[in-house]
Amino acid sequence: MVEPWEILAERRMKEVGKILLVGSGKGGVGKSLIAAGLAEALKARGFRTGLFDLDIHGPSVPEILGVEKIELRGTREGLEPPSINGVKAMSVGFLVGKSPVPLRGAAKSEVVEDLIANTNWGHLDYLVVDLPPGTGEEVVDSLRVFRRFPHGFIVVATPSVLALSVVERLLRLLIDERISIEGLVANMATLPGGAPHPGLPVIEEFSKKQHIRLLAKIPFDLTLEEVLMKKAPLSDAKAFWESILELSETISAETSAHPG
Amino acid sequence: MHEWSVTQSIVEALLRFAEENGLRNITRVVIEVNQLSQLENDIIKEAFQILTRGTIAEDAELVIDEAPVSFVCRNCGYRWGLEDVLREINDAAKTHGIVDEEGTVDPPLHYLPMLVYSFVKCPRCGSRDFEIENPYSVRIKNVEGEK
Ligand SMILES: Nc1ncnc2c1ncn2[C@@H]1O[C@H](COP(=O)(O)OP(=O)(O)OP(=O)(O)O)[C@@H](O)[C@H]1O
Ligand SMILES: [Mg+2]
Ligand SMILES: [Zn+2]
Repeated sequence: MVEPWEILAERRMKEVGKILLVGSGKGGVGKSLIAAGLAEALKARGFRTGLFDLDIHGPSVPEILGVEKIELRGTREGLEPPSINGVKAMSVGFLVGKSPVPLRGAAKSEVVEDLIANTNWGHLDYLVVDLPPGTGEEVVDSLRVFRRFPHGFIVVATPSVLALSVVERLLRLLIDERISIEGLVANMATLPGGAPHPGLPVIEEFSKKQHIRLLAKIPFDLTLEEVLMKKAPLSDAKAFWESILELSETISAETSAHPG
Repeated sequence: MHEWSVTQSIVEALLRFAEENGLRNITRVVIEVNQLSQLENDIIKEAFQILTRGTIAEDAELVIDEAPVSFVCRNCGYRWGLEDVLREINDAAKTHGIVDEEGTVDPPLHYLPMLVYSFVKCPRCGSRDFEIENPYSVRIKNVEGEK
């Protein structure tokens, strides 16, 4: 029988124009920064946007959004995602602060399901989901829910054979699970100063071979760390932001959602 | 008032189940609610009564199964129960409380009981590597009705 949480999850997701899943399989390639940047860029374009941190063990969204502590509110409709500079956000980090989250197996699935079921996003044009590395419960459990609604998976990779071999495994999973793939984002594709990363041809070749569109080449931006330290908006990291804005345009040009 | 949203989802799941299985009415429902949430049974029962009004579950008896929560440490083997860690759980409301419409401050486990791993440690050895007998938030265990 359909479980109670699935009923709630369905109700939430029906209110979302499109779910944009940001993942890679590989760790540390920039998924969280790209997910947060994309959410902010879509918001800057006038879309109602949510940012959903599904990295249960290592949530990064609070840090990226500069949230040190936040008081969450609950209603009869569930948890209200706080609006941070106009982007609604939810993260396990908002619920546990700096505590570790050493969950395993069924308990972890339960947290993923409860988060999806209990976060009351309301009407959104886009919900950007920041996935953790790997293909564990967070990814498998959430794909099962999200794939029933309009969605697209944005695969993040760096120009490295090590990243791409892991990404290739993820792609197989996405294809088997019938997830629609938006395309590939090459992060840290250019070196500080603008020269192309020596691994760039590898990623370009990969995208051709896998028949997956290269959506954006994001430069390595040395100012990003400073921006994060100052808790400033990501738009202050100029080179990064410019290419993220382009990415958001590419993505929104293809969906029927209109700012509103 | 998280009880309302939980109950709403139970009622909808029941009605869908009845439809899919050709039930004319629902007479009895057993649900299991994780004690770590500290949801109030009275509110769930009241919500159930109101939310089933005018549906085929209107006269259903709602049984709330209170399976006791039990923990086993995977590091040292110690066993303990909810009462031993209630203070830690409720203290979490002071630092990470969630405020509802009535101004009540609930601990995060009210909404996500399995976040218990962030707030509780083994009372004997201090490890967070423990097992919970029942790692589910809310489940429908049994439905009875007539075809
Ligand atoms: N384009 C970029 N330019 C400079 N630094 C970057 C860029 N993209 C990411 N980084 C840095 O790389 C590190 C990893 O980024 P991030 O946390 O977003 O990756 P992730 O894929 O989400 O990691 P995890 O797998 O742990 O979730 C961070 O220190 C981030 O500042
Ligand atoms: Mg991340
Ligand atoms: Zn122990």
